[in-house]
Amino acid sequence: MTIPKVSISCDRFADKLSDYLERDIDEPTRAVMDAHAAECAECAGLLADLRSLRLGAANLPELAPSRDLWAGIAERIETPVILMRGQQSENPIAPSNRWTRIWVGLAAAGLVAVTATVTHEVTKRSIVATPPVVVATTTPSAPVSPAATPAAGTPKPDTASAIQPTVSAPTAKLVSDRPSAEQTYDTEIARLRVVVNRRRPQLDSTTIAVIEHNLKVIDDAIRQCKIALRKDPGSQFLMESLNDALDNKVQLLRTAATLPSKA
Amino acid sequence: MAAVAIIEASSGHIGNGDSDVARAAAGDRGAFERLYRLHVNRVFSLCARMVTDRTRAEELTQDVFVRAWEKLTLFRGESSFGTWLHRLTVNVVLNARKSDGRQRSRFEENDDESGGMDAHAGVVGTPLPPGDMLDLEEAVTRLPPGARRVFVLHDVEGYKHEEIAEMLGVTSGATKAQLHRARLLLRQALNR
Repeated sequence: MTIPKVSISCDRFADKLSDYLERDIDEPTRAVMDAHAAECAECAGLLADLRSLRLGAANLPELAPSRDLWAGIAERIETPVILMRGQQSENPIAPSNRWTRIWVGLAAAGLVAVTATVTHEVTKRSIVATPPVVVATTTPSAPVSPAATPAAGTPKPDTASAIQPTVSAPTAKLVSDRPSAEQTYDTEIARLRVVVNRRRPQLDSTTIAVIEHNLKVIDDAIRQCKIALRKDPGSQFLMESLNDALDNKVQLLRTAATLPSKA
Repeated sequence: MAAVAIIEASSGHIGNGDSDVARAAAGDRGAFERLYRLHVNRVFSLCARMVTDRTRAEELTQDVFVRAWEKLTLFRGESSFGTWLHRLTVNVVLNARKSDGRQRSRFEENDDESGGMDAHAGVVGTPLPPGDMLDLEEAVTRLPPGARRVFVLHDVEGYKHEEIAEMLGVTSGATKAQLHRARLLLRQALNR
C-alpha cells in the first residue's frame, strides 16, 4: 500500500467515503481525500468500485412479474358499489377504508344495544296479546334454517345467524317503502361473501376470526331487527336500524374483500 | 429521484396518464388497468428487490395496486401519479415487513448480527454455488435485510437518507451506516 503523504488514514478515508460519494463533505476534506486516493491504490480501488456500484444500482433494469397480476387485482377491486339507502356518495369508488373493522364492530355493537332495547320495549308492550318471541339474547347454536330466513329465495350469505324463533311467523317485509332494497342488499352480500370466501386462504387466520366475529355481531343486530319488525312492521326506526345493519355488513365484507394478503 | 423520474418519463410516452388517473379516480376500472400496465414493472421491481422473494413480491405488487385503487381519491395531484404510487409501494412493502417479521423473524432479527451476505436468499431462491461471480442483481438479494432495504431505497430508487430514515423509523446516521455496510458487502461479493 502506498503511504499517503496527506493527513488522512485509509481507515478514515473508508469512513468518510459514503459522505464523499454523497457530496456531503466540505471541500477541504474532499480535496484531502482526492489527494489520498491519488496516492493510495487500495483506497482508489475502493472508491472506483463503489462509484461503479452506485452507477450499476441506479441503472438496474426493471424486473417483470412472472405472470399477469391484473386478474388478481381486478378480483379484489371489482366488488361493485351499489348505492344503498342514504348513501349519497359523490365518490363512485368503494369507500372500503371509510369503515374500519373497529368502527363497524362498535357501530354494530351499538346497534345491537339499541335494537335489543327496542325489541324489549316492543315485546313488553305486546306480551299480553301475542305469543312469546325468542329474542337474540338466547343461545346462538343452530344454523339458520330456511324457515327463519326472512326472504325466500335469498342466497345464504353466511352461517353466522343462529337464532330460530319459536313461532312460525310469516316472513317480514324488511323495507316496506323500498321493496327492492332487501334483495339488493342480499345480492351484494352474497356476491361479497363469495369473494371473501375465495380470499380466505390469503388472509391471516386472526383477521378472519375478527371479521367473522364482527359479522356475527352485525347478524345478531339484523336478526333482532327482523324479529322486532315482525311485531311492529310499520316502525320506521326499525327499518332504518335494519338498513343500517345491512349496510354495515356490506361495508365490512367490502373491507374484507380488499384486505391485503397475509405474509 | 432517478427511479421516479423514470416512471414519470414513461407516463409521458402514453400521453393520457393524467386523464387515466382522473378516470380511475372516478371509478373507471379500464383506466386503472391501463395505469397498472404502465407502472407494474416498476412497482414489482421495487417489491422484488426489497423482499427478494419473487412470489411474495408479486403478492405485494397486487396489494399495492389494490391499495392504490382504494386511495386514489386521496391523490391530490400535488406530485405525479408515479411518485405517489412509488411512495405507496414503499409503504406497503415496509408495512408488510412488520407482519413478515413476525412470521419470519429469523432473517430480520439476525440482521444486526449477521456479518455478511445471505447465501440462501435471492430472487430466484437458489443458493449461490461457491466461487461463482455474482451479478449485482443477485448480490443485492443476498444482502442482510436491513442493509438491502437501505441500499435499494438509496442507491437504486434514489431516496435521500432523511426520507429513508423517516420511512424506516430510524436515524439518518443509521441508514448511512447500513448503506456503507451494504456497499462494502456488495463490493466483496462482486469481486470474489
